[in-house]
Amino acid sequence: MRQIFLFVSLAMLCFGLYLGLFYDVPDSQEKINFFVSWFLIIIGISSLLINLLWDAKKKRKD
Amino acid sequence: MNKKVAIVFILTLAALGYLTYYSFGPSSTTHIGPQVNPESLKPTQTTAVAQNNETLKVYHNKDIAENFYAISIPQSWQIQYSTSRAGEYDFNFTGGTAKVELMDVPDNSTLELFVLSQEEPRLKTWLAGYKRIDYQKLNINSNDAYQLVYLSDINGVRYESIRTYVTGPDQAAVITFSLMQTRVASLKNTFDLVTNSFSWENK
Repeated sequence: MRQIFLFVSLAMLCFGLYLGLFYDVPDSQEKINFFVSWFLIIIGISSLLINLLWDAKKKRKD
Repeated sequence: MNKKVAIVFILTLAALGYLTYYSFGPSSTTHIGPQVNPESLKPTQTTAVAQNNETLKVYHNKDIAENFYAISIPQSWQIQYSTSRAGEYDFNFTGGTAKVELMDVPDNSTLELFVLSQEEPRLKTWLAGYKRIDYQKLNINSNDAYQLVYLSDINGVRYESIRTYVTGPDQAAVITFSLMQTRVASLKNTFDLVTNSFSWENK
């Protein structure tokens, strides 16, 4: 389960970076592209962080 | 819940809130998307044209990467700084207007197909009394171009527009002249001169 969560987080982060850096944005779509790419990057990073922090807590308990 | 996880969660929500405001808030147009390069608004060179004693200014537009271009504009035409967006120029001259802009053409279409299947139907619905007068293929400095000439009614006055689409390495350029139909003949040479001066500068 944890691996799936990690994979989805990384996928969101990579897709956000792709949209922000490499995607050829059509005219007048700049705002929505900006929003979606940063949305994915923020969610990707925070879910990675949450995953790591939760894991650290479990290890301390063990 | 882990305290640190809760903090990350709250920070994420705050970041998303700020992102939404930054993307769609009142000042979003000034910092998202291509911006006007001040260098693009300064004509760099003047050319005297003996044909009709008109002096031309050359504008080098450097707003959008891969879509730099140059165009010569008569000295007497007034540039409208307030309405020009990135990659665009708006000009006023006696009895009419001129506009140079960039246009994104979908990858699954050609410029000619796009002009005939998307642009012309859009103009038909957008302009009152639209009527096509002429359509021709041109070659402007080794670039394929398509010129649409049409009539429309603005406040009961018959206007003629000459709209030229020039193929480009990334986006296409669109040069539009609109003026009262009765004045077109006297300015036709100038329009041709401006249109033929267009060139891409991505070298």
